Amino acid sequence: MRVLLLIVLVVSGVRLGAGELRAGVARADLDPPAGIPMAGYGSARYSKGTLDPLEARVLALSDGDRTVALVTLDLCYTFDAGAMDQIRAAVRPAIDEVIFHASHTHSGPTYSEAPAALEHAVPRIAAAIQEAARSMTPAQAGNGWGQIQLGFNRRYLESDGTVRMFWRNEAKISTTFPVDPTVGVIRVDRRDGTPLAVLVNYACHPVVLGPDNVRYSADYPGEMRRYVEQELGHGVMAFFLQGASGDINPYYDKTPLIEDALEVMKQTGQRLGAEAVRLAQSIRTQAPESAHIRSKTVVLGVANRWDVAKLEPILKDRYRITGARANRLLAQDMQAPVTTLLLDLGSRDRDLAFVGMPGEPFVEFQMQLRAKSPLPNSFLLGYTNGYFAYLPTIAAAVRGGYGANSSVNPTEAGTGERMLNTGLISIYELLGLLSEQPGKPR
Amino acid sequence: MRDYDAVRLLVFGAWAGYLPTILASVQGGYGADYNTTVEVGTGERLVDRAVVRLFELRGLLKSLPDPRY
Repeated sequence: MRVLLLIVLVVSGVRLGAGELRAGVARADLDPPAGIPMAGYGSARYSKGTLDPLEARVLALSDGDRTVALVTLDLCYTFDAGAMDQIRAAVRPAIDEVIFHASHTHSGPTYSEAPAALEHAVPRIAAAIQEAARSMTPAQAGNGWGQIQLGFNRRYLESDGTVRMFWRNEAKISTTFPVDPTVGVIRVDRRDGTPLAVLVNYACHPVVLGPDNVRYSADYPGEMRRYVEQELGHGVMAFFLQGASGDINPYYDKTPLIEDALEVMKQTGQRLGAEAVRLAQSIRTQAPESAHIRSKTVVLGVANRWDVAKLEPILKDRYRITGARANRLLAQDMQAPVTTLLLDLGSRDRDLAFVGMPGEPFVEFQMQLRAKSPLPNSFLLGYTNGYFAYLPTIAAAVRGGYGANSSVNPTEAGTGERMLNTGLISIYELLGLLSEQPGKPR
Repeated sequence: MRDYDAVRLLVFGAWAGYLPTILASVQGGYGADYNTTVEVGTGERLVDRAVVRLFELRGLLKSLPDPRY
């Protein structure tokens, strides 16, 4: 009889275990070689080695019907679309969707300028995704919210309405806004209640190490992870999810190595780690009666904001920007994906929603998402599934400043608002609250 | 809706029918989830495009980046 039931289920396409939340983790050392250009700071720097390993960390989640892999990268940006698609193709059909997310460390390699290094990393990441999927075990999840002040808004608004850049704030002067001190923590446990994964969401540029550092490092998020894993034990894997940090710097921005930058970086990571541990220990995970994982990617056509014919010689002559970076900043019709992931855990107050933007959204957007989303546990992730540079609010684009009306702002004003609304609509759609069919007159 | 269409709606006052907010589209009702044809989010996009155009017309959004950055 049992055999007959099994045959019926298989023939009818029903997968065993449908609705059961399962999770697995794995990691890959990206192991980039020395000697290739480092990303960030807009200056030519060539790596001379490794301070701490750069990793791809994978959380695979399945509801028995659909499996999604979240790949966090200790990189300034995600890989280009071709490399991401290559990895996605390598893990199909076991994995339905792969979401790439970069921490934005400025102490990583520029893979777009090092094809051999990329070729070395791609199979390692694909193998880690497969390993995470193979290791999936029945899981339960929960989340919590806390606060910490590690960063500040680097755009100082003068009394006349103009903006002055305010990069480093050692004195912790709190006269710039907006700032979002929110720390979001998601805990995924094995069914015995031991922690399998802890995801920590915070919005702040990982730039405690400055341009004088030429050794690879994950910056403060790497130290945060190490601290969390040490404190929680049980072989837990910690993840960093970068928020909308486009205008948020750490107080100790670009600390010179001669001023003990490594120690300052570690202290910054440990402070975030301590808050994450406090939250993780307070979270009571719960096995959902029936889990459903849904996702949606909407690709937006985005025009360039500038007069690109006039900008091209300026980029070359004034900023010395050429090659792939120039092409990215001069692109006329950008195809920008906005990816939304919904973990339906059975109740609105436990469900988790993630909206991924392919660039550097200003912090106001993550505050707006939490205010507008129907789910209290909604996370805005920058640097996800692509990179179209800074995404300021319309008001910031007018007031100006670096990242607001600078050469690294290729997208037309209003793109961030459009991406936010796209993610919000996707959340409603994935919850089944927006139909493609008109409602009935009433 | 393409930006061009959004601007045409604003400038020439073309008739697009009801323009509900995203939240109203979810809540439903006349003009919100029926008797409306525009995609969800069109209203928000139109307002944002209008704000951007107003800033452009006032010379506060320029066609080249600020040379200081």
